[in-house]
Amino acid sequence: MRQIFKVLASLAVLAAMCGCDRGQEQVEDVPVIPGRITLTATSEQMRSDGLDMVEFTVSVTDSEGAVHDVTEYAEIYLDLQKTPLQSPVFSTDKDGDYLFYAVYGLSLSNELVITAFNDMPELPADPQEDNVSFSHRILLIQHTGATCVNCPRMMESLKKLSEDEDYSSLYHHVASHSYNGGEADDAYSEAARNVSMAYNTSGLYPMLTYNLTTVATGTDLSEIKAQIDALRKDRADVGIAASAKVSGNDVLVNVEVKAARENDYRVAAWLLEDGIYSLQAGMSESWHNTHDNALRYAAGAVSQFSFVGEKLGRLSESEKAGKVFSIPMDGAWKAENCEVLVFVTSADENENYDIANCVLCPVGEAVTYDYL
Amino acid sequence: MKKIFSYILAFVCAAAAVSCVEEEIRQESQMNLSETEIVLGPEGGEHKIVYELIGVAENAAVNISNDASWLEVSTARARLIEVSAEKNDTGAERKAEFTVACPGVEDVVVSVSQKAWQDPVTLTILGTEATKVMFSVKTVDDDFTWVGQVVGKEWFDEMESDEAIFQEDLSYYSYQAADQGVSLQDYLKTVLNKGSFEYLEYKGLDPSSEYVVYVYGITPEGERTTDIYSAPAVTQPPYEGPITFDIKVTEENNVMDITVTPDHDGVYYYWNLMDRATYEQYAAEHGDDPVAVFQAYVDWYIQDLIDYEYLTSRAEYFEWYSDINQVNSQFECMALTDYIVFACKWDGDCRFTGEAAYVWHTSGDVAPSDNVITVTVGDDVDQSSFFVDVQTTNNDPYVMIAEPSRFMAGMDDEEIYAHLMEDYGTWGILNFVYEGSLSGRMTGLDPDTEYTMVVFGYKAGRQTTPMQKFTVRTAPAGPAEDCRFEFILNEAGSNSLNITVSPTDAAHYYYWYVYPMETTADEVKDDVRRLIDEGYYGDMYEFSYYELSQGKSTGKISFLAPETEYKVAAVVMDEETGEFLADVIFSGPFSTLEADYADITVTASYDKFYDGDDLYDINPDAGAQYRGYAMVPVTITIDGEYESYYYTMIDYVTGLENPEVYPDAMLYETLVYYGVYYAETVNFRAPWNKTVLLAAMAIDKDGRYSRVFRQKCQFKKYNASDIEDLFTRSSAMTGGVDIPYALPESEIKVEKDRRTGDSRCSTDNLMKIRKENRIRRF
Repeated sequence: MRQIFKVLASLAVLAAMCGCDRGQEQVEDVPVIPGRITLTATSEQMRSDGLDMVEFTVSVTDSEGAVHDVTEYAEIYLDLQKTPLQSPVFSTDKDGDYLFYAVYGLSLSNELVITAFNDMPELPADPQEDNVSFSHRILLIQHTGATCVNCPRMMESLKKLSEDEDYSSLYHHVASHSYNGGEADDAYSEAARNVSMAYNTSGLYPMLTYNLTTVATGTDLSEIKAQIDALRKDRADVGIAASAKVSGNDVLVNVEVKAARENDYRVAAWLLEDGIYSLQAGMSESWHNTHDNALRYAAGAVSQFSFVGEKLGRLSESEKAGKVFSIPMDGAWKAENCEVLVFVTSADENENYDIANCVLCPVGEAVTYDYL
Repeated sequence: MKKIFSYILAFVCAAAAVSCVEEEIRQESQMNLSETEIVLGPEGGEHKIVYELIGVAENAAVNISNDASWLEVSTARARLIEVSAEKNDTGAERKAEFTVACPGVEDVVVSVSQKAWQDPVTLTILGTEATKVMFSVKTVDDDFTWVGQVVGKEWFDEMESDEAIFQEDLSYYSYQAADQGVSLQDYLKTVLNKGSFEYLEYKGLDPSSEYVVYVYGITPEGERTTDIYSAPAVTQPPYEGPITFDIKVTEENNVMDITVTPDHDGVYYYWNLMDRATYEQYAAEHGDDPVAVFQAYVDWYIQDLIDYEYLTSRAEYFEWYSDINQVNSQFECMALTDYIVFACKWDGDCRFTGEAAYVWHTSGDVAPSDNVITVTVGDDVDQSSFFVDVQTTNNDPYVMIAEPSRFMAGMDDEEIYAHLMEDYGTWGILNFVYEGSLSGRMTGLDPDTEYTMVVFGYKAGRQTTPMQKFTVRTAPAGPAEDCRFEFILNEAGSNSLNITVSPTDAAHYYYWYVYPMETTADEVKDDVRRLIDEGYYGDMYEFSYYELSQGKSTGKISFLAPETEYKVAAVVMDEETGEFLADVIFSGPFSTLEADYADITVTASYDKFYDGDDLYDINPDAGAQYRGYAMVPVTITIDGEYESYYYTMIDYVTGLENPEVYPDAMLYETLVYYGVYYAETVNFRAPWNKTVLLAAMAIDKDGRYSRVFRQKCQFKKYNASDIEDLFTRSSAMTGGVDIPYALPESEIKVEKDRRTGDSRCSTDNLMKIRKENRIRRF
């Protein structure tokens, strides 16, 4: 009889185990890992073609700094949807911003906005996937203004520089019209004003600065060339492919960056406009009144005084990363005269970012990597 | 046995069933919230609570019961209860509870609290005086960084928003940073305030004026962290009662340091000083009341300025010379002299209105100088000058002055010194004070006159070395018509002659210049008369000063033709009337060297020209100067290394385009004096239907001239191009556009700098305008 009760007890326990099987599975399969919950996606931009998709990951960073992937245990919600995504992927056929958040146990993640474009500019195919030898360009920023009587002298110097075959392919040029708060200057912009303050140019015009440094020269062409010589590189640390097009009232800029050297990178896109007519003080030739490469908008600015670009993250050699910028067009700007300067910045040992390379992409066109 | 197994099976099933029922009951009854007590920030905001429902029906939803009007609770987003509130400006902490309910589970009560908002910075005006505002700044956080400004209320009221004010401030800070040569961030670090200040004051304001004090949080990186907190402040009217002054005078090395401190700031007052002699002079006339003496002195001074048209009214003087706060000033004084420094309240008509404060100060003596002054007077004394060489052993100042000896006849050294000081005064004598060694000719003397040159150390009205005297007699003058000239060619170039002209009688003033060999005496005189009339508009003083010589004269005459003979003409003239006192005397021929043209080819050209009337129609301002004329954009092209270039249009005369008829040398001067030299393209204003010559030249680094480019031109109105062609990009030329307007004279100043360095523009003007309406940071 004692044996019978042993069997009975065993069966009862077995039955109880069978009956609570589901609940026990929950306890075992949902590990409670305290920490900071992070929702990330393979990209924060996508095409709204119903085919393109992003995949989400939910992770927990514990107190030790270890990162645990808890995607399968988390619920990912599209904003205002009552039910979570059935799988951690998202695709859509409607453009717009989509806000997501994730819940893991009783913890909430960051909010993540995925922007879907129905008109994303197509990037050109990479003609040399295995190549990481990119030509290098410096960014020259001309701090100028239409009421600055000495500024035509810088225009003259830059014209001569552009006509010098030994230098014309070593840089891209931005004209930042900020003199006297844009007084009587149709090429003035708030972006230029902020750039001028970041570069501390309020006192002296014309001035030419180099990349994002505060190194500056006046109009002396030999000094300008000397600075370019000091900054030029035989090979760039990154290559940049870009495509830009008008979409509604915006200019969409699709950028892809390929690293030649492992580092932390950021990217920014500046809208420039050519052919702005504004009477130039001190002009001696009619072309002085027509202003090219005038900075209109600085996308990717970190703050009012920091233009180092949006994070691309750490890229290893040959690794690519992308970013799409949407630049709002002012009604006075002529899209057909616009181009986008894309620059990538990289960090030095002190986490200071400066331009690693830049390209110029006319609106409505695309540029691929500039291989050596 | 079967029965037993049936029991066992039933028991097992029952046990299993009981177990499952109990688990389901436990799950259905569960609603978990991530938090049930939340604290919202005083500034307001949102807080999210995550909830989970276990075992409830799929369509079950949570409901919120919330009676607190200040609290918003939303369950619009799945798994989230969003709690939000505005800034708590009730002045006290507030608390509330809301209930989260869901069918089948127990309600959960969530408590919410929000402390009262406290401004991160509190600005309090403590008071104002006539010229200052006192205030305190209290910050909640001791590490809170902020900046503040005192600005005119009018300026502040014009600003549309906090951000507009902040951006104006940033522009100001950027300007200051640039001025100091530091980055904006580095500059901000030097001006940021940190934490609380119980007492701050800003001085130098105008009385009875409206100001606004404002402060805001800002990071060293230049990011604004708070709203702008402001408070109005009105300075007090000037103190109306009597005021006193504290006047302090110190002296070092014969420089008085004067500080005048009124006991009430903001009261308009005047201060000045005078020596005892001046004071007593006025006192003798206006009595012993110092205020009356000071008033008389100021009245005289004002009237003197008005008489000389430096002033138009007393009110102007009041505006310029009023002080309202402490002043500090330095004055270079005479040795051993009594000075009275005075200050007195006054009104807008420069009338003193109160008691004057004053102090007497006796300046110190000047030590004798150990400077050894060795003077050598040369033997080559002519009718108007003599040579003098002075060697000194240090740079102590000394006086050197020559006067006809008769002025000092019978005087000993002391009397001569007194005579000079009386004649020239302490100010006038400064024109004859020198320092260090020198040599040269003492000029401008009268002929046949004995001069005594005195040399002595001098400082602060004191003679510091013994006086040295030298006597020189100038040669007698002969008749003007007997004056002859020696002409020496120092150096000849292909386009210039360097000549020295030495008259036999240095008493006379004379004119000299280089002329073509065929020039007659009458033509020279005509040329001189034309120069007086057209070059100096008949002003003989100016003409004599710049054109006439006395004694030996050396000069270089340029723009001459190469390999050509010239002669120098000299003629004695009356320096006051311009009358020719003698015949024109010519030198022998001097020849320029053979042509050595610069290896430069210059071309000036235009491909279109425009009707100035068309420009005027589009833009009257830009086109006004071209009305009735052709506007011709001319570009100069230069092949070869050049130092400078010149081009212009000249009225055409027959043969002007031919170098055989009009050599290049005849055009060089016109081109250099009147040509465009600063821009490779300018718009010329040319007459219609009239032939002109377009001419251009360049000069190389060795000073050699190029050949002159010449092109005859004539502009017919019917050939003028469409004005729209002026613009390189027609797409940008809609509406009332401006027109390129460059005329030679409009750009001279700017472009001239091109050859001398790297000129820059600054935003000084703009900043000055801005600063006029505001006050510096504190």
